[in-house]
Amino acid sequence: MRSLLFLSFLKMKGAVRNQFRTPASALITILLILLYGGLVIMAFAASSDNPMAKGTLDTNSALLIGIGMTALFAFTVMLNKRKALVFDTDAYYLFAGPYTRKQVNGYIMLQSLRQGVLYSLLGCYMIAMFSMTGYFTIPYFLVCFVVLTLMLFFFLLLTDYIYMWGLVDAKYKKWNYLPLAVAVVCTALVFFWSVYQSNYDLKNGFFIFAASREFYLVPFFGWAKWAIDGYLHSQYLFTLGGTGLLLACCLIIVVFFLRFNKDITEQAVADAEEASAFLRRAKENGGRARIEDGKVKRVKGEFAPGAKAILSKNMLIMRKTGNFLRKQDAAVIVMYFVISLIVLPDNVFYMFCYMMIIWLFTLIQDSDLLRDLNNYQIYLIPDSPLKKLVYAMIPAYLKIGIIMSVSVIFAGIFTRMAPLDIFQYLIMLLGYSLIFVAGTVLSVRILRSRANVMLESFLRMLIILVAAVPSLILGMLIILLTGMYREPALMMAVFTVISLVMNILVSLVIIIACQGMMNGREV
Amino acid sequence: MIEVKNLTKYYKESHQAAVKDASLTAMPGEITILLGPNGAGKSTTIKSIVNLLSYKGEILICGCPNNSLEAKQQFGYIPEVPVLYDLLTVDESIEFIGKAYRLENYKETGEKYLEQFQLTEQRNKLAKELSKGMKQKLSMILALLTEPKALLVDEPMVGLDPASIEEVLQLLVELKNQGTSILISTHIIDVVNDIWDCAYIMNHGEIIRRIHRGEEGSETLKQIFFEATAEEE
Repeated sequence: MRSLLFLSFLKMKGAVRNQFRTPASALITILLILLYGGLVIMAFAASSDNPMAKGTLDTNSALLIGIGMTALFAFTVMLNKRKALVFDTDAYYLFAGPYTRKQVNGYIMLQSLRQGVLYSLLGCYMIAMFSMTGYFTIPYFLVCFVVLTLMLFFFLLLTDYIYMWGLVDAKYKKWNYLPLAVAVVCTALVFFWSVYQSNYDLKNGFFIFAASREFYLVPFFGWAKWAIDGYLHSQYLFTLGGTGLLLACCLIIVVFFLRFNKDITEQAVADAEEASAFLRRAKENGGRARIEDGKVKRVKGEFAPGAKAILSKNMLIMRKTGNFLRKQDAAVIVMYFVISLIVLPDNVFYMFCYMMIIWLFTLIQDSDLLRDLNNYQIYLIPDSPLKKLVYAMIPAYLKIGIIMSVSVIFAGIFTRMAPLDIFQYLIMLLGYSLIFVAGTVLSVRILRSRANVMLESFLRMLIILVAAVPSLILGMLIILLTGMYREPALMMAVFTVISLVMNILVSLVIIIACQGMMNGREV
Repeated sequence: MIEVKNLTKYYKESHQAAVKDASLTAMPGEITILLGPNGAGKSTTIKSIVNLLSYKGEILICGCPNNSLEAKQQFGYIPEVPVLYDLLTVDESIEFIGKAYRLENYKETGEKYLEQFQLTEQRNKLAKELSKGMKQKLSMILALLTEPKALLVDEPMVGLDPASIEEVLQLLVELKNQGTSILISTHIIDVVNDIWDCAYIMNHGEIIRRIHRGEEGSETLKQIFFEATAEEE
């Protein structure tokens, strides 16, 4: 077992060393640690030590968001179809090495614990961010951390346990749905009870739900909240009760897990190989699953001659994968709308529009454009570089533009905004979409090397932001110099026009300046 | 003809020259091979010739600068690792290249190579569904579809079974007989032993020896290669 522990240690050391292998990568790692660490310290410094303190969200809602995110992660892991106990290198070493089954199970269990700790920290981070200027202290953080870790450890180990039985007989895979069904049904019952108590007022119902004692009846998540609420209200027996229930569940699953002794090696190794290959492909794609790994429809398409064939190809691929509007994009947009609804109920539309800019960032990291610029074939096509670049960009812009328009118009109508306001924001966002697509091209032109995906993503964001700066500066200058800020409606109209014109101009300059890259130098 | 004059390539990350002042020529109707151990700079040279890397020096393909449209229309490139559009079928990949290059006879040419590489039955499969060897074959078909006057091949036999290697070698000889300039980078000398006309030996980014078939005397190409690289060490 000592050698397995040593392996764990070496892997962790290797992962840390990898982050510091080049000065640029080390710098970005340190910057990110400072950024996220700084935000957490700010949360500690700016928050109050009075649990009733009101921040942007109250303590209860912040806690529910943290627990909710952790629950979402736990269920995503449970329902993920691509499962494996370990990665391929570990699988060869563990299953072929001189270890007893209990030792192998113990190693896998330690992995689950490590993963649980990491994601629990993420949950605590969310609680800290939503508690900024609210209640957040070090002991509170520690209680949250322990409770969320126990909860996650239980679900991760349960997932592995069900997965192992699933390898023995596929019928056991159905067990994955049981914890989800129990939690969802219990949560839904408590939520409807809360809405009923608030005379079907959804907003108040949500707050009653967040604060209700009935929520404690929801297995695992309710117990977690019971434990943390107990601490918040100085009822430490409740903290002990909630934590004890979670700990007992963990101990039971640990005993069952360590005692599992069926022969599952062959399929476990095959799954480890498949999951590792999938992860490698995702890593090459900046940490996201590739569209190539999803389902593909058998549709046919025609190719236009010359550079336009690039456009035909991309449209065909979009039709094959349904990548134009993916479920996850739709889910993210709906989530942004719900967040806007909760956080800024009086200005939902404006908040949603600004949140769509965040969506632009995430979408551009995953665009077909980046994938296209990765394949040497388009660089060798004997046609005008400008045409090749424009045809490669069109699908990305079409996709962003159409989804953006539908979302903004829908949000505008839903929040009963004036048509002119909707139009102004739509035009402004479409201008920024163009600059985001052009900025992506510029980032590929500047960065060239694709060795460090994290660094590249960070720099890409920076480049896109810089490209968007001219329209902001010019807009601000004109508004300040002409004194238009005294008339908000006029100011908004002028700002919309300026940002649109400037964004189009900057995008054109970028596209013309970058066209040479389509000849293929340094890809 | 492929002409490389004083090619030098620095990689930013390593601050070392991957290729130093290399000059070579691949004549029409000849198979020129670029030999060298791992890390000698062979792939960097090939990628520079097809203009996928920035470099110092001058590169002409059929008399035109390698970044010109004229040059692009006349060369084919087969990379070491096939880079295909995973979600296009074999037929669609052929149609994409055929249309993008505005080729008139791409259907007939594609059909010929599909048969030759025994990929006819796989024509409706997505590229991602092909085996490693089949992907390599499709990558070759796409490069040959344009009926190039210059062909650049980077480690061509990786992933191919013995029968396919034999087919590829025959095809390369056929193309050579039709007057195509062929430049092959490889470190497996045995595979190209029977087909080479001119060999450049690279080591540590430099071309250290150039030899024409018939100049090797009693020595084999392998012996010459080991002597040359050993002297360098």
